[in-house]
Amino acid sequence: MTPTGPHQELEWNGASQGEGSFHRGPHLAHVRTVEGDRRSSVEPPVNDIRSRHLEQQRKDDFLSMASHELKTPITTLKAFLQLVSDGEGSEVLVNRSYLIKMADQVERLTRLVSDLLEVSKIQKGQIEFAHEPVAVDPLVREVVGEAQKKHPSHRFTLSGEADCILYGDRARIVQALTELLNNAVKFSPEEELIEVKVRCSGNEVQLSVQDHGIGMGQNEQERIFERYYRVLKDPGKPFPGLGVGLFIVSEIVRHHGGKVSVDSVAGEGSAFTLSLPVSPGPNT
Amino acid sequence: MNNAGNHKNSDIKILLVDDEPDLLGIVELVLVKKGFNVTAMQRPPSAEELLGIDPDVVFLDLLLKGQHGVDICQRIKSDPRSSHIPVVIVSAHTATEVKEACEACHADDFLTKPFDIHELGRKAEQYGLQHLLTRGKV
Repeated sequence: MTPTGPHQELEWNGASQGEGSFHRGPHLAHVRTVEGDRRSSVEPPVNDIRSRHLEQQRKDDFLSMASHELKTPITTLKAFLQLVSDGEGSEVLVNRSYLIKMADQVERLTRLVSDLLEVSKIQKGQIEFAHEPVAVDPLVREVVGEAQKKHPSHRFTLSGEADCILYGDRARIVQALTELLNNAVKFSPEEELIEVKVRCSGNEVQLSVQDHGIGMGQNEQERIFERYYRVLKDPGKPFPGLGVGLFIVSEIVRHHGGKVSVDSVAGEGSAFTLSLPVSPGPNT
Repeated sequence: MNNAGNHKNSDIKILLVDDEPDLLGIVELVLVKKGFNVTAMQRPPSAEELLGIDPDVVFLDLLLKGQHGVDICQRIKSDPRSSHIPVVIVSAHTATEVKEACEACHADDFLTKPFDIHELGRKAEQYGLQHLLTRGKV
């Protein structure tokens, strides 16, 4: 190729050089506009290409899965709205059970979109954490109370006390605990009891959520906090969701200088424990 | 709605298979409103159940609990007792992926989510009527 005028070339090492650089797509790395013969050829290292290819494959798989997850509630809502707008289903508008089902679909969509945005922010390092005193006991009571209202199918119990204050982002801690409670409901469809325990010991607050649901084996426990990892509901069919909820929890806890762990037995249930330092964490 | 001869939509028996209960419920309602005779299942039917229902068209979700829609479709199409039943695959996958799935299991057609309920109604009537005619029921 003879560079006789402005043209584009691929730059594999991702080092943007000068003005005119822009992203074309993740696997193509950077494409930059080059004037005249001011070019430099860059040979991509084989390992870089492989890892970029794997990363691209992972992103493609995620987009495909996310699109699939979004389409199911959209289909339900679209069918409902078409039925009503055609004037054939006016009775569904006054049937509370249909309206509740449609509200559930909107909630499902909202959660999916919110998770997508959260992951995007985490990847870009754009999540900001407040640094404020957080009273643990009222927070836990509030979250468990909300969960009980939201999931009447399950029975939440709360034991222990944590009459202590930690420093962090209250809204994010609420988000993490709520995610664990939602998760407990999701993975224990047949067992109603969900036990929440809280205690403050030394410089640490521990919040644990125990369900008596499907549990998981050692392999799944090792991967459960990975981004995009989803537990299989049946062979070849994962539980609904994007596989990012526990990843987000682990990121929130990490930013508070704490840790999250899981103890589970397949067929018997899982216990997730958040341990958060009472003193200010490293990133606060 | 009558499109051919003396048939009514209520003559057309439709089997819906989808493990998403809310979606299944609303699609069932849509087709019932259009006058079809609908059976809705959240799990794949056994061969005997299928023969008992004797549907004129099956709308089959591609991803079901425990079983892939392609396997179920193959089972329907490879059994001489049910191979004549039109199968429409329903999926949130891309059209290209669903076409491949249809070819793999000899399905008659497909619908991609989010589908239009009028398109659903058209396919129900088209394949249902076609089946009634081939079976000499109208």
